[in-house]
Amino acid sequence: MINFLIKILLIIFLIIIKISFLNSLYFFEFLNPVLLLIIYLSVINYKHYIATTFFAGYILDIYSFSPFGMHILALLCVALISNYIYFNILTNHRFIPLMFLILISIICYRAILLFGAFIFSFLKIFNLADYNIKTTYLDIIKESFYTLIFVAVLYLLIQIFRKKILAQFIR
Amino acid sequence: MNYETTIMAINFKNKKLGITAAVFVLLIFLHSVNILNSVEKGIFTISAPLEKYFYESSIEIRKFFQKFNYNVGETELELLKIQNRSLILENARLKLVDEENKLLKKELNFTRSNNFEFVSARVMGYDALQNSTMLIVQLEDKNIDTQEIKINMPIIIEDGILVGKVTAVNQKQIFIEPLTSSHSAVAATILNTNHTMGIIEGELNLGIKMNMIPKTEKIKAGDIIVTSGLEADIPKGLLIGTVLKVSEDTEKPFQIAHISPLQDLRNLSKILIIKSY
Repeated sequence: MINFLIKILLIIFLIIIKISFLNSLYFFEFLNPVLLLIIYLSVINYKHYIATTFFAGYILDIYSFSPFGMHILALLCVALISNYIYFNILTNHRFIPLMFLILISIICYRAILLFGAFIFSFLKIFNLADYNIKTTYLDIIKESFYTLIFVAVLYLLIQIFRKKILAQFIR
Repeated sequence: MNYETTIMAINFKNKKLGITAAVFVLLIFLHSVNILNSVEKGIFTISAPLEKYFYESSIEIRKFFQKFNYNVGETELELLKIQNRSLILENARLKLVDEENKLLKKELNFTRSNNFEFVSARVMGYDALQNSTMLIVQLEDKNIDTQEIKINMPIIIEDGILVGKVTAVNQKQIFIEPLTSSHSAVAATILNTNHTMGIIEGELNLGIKMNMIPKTEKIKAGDIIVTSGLEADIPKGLLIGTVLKVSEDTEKPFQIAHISPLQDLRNLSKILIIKSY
């Protein structure tokens, strides 16, 4: 229970960091720490990762102009897809497959948000012009690139300082 | 045995997916009937001081690196020359803006005693949607209800420099769209000899431009752009920026004015919302 509450507080903190701090800084504006945390919880098969994903999506939705439910849906799909890919498709769980999984997750997340924007626009709930489609494809490439660099650096630091976490990714 | 185990596993997964879908629909329903309002208000109230602190810190860091970038890789003498040149340019520009501002105030009779009803607010961060250009602001006066703020109300800073418009209003947060946003559009006038009118649009969150200006209109760099007053919610005479350069549209008989905003729209902190005028 305490572990779960810590995860909840961490999610709230990461969301605040993302919208108030990271979004104002170049390079860091392309990182999505909440998405990375959800991917991490799903690959370590955390017991309450679905509930945590719901909560993260809910908080992102209330801090967003987009229709309610888009972030919940996108994060849920990414959590389930990454969990399935990690345990059913990837034959080993080392660094390169993990990078591949993160890349797939980012693309899925942005694709689901874009798809949701189209659906809500079709239902006249959302104005598609507000989504900024012109820059979406370039943003996906930038986000993927910068996130992979960030995760690679993080992984390297963790490998140096904490060998225990490394064991999670080697099966 | 293996077959039965597999069937049980599939049934369990289907059940799990079913429960997930049901909770998703329930959450959307609860939000739409406003049952979760008090929870959301509580979250905004608790997180507001942290958001304010982090956002102000990020602005300071941005400003620090913007200054730092000018100096990287230069010798001390070149550093001083560049700084001196940029200070001279800055000084000339500020004097020009000050003179033009005085002239503009005189011409348009724009003073603090104007009948504008302002509400002060503070920028807290950006929209959670990835790479969104929308800013989240919160009213500073606790006595004013957020629901009094309406969509399309203009956002200004200092003495009437327009920086954006209100796009959406939630429980305790207001979303604003800066002028540089790709889907921002404001009716404006160029203070040239013909007082050319048009619509200024944002350019990928980097700049502002006015398209579809007939080639017969005489526009030059340095011309001031103000709001034209043709929009119901935006008063006339709010400063927007100055013309940076004029380029020709090669395919059509029009020219494009690229506009430099008077305020860096990525460093917004304290703003004013015009409720009525």
